[in-house]
Amino acid sequence: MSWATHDLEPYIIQRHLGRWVSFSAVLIGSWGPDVFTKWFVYGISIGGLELQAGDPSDFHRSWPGAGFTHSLAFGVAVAAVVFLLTRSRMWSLGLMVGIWAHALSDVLDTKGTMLLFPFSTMRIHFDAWAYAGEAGRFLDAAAYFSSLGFAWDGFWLAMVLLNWRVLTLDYFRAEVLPRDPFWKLVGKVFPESAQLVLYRGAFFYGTTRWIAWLIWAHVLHSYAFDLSWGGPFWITGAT
Amino acid sequence: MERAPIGRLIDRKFLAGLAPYLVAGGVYITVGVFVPEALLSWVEGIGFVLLAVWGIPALVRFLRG
Repeated sequence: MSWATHDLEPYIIQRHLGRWVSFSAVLIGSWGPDVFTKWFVYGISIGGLELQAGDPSDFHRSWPGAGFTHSLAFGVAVAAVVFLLTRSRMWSLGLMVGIWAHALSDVLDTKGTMLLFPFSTMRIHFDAWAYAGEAGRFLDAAAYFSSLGFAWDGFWLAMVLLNWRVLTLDYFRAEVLPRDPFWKLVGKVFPESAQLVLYRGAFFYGTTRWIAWLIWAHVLHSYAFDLSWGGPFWITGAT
Repeated sequence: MERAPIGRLIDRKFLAGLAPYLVAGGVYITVGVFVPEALLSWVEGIGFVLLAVWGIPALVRFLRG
C-alpha cells in the first residue's frame, strides 16, 4: 500500500487533467478505496468489541473481500452512479481517475491489486516493497517508511514541489475555484482564504506525515532502512 | 498561465503566506512523532491545518476587532 502518495497524486492529476476533473473528486477517489477498508484491516475496538478481518491482506485486496475497491471497474461503477445522480462529468470522472490512481499505485507492493476485477481475480503486483498491513498500523508504517515505499512517496512529493504553482493562490483562483461547483458550496461556509487552506490540506497532510513517519521510524526508533526491491528484509510481506 | 521566475515570488508577502504553514507543519510533525496516532487520520490532519493557519488567526483578528 502507499501512504502519502494518495494525498499528493491528486495535485499532479489536477495539473494535467484539471479541465475535465474536479480536484476534490480526484482526492476523494484517491482516498476512497482505503477509507472503507483500512479500519477492518488494522482492526478496531468498539465498546470493547474487537473487529478485524480474519485475513487482513486478503480482505483488503482479494475476492471474496473488499479487494474490488482497488479495481479499475470499481472506479467506472462509482463514476456511473455519481453521474446518474448528479449529472456532473467533472465529479464522476474525477472520482474514477482518483480510484484508478489509488489502485495503480498499490500494484507496487507485494500484495498488489485486482485491477481487472470482475473479469479476473488475479492480483497484479510488482513487489517493490512489502505489504505489511497484517502487522498492524505502526509496524506497517515502519516497514513502508524503511522500504522503497518511502521513496515512492518522496517521488510524488518532489513532483508536487516541481509543480509548486498548483499550490498558489493564483492557480487556485484561476484553475480550481471556477471549474468545480464543490467550492461554491464550501464558499457558503468558508471565505476564500479558508478554502485555499482546505485545498492545500492534503499536501500539508501528506508532506508532514511523510516527514514525521520517517523521524518516528528512524530517529525515535531504529528500524533498518532497506531500499532493495521487496524490502524491508526484516518483515515478510503478504502475497 | 504566465510563469513568474521563482525569485520574484520569494518576497515578504510570499514568506508571510508560507510562515503559518511552516509553523503548523513543525507542530504537526512534532506531535506526530511522539503521538503517531495523530498521523493516521486525514480528517484530523486537514482539520489541524485549517485551524492553525486560518481558524486561530481569524479568531485573533476578530477578538482584536
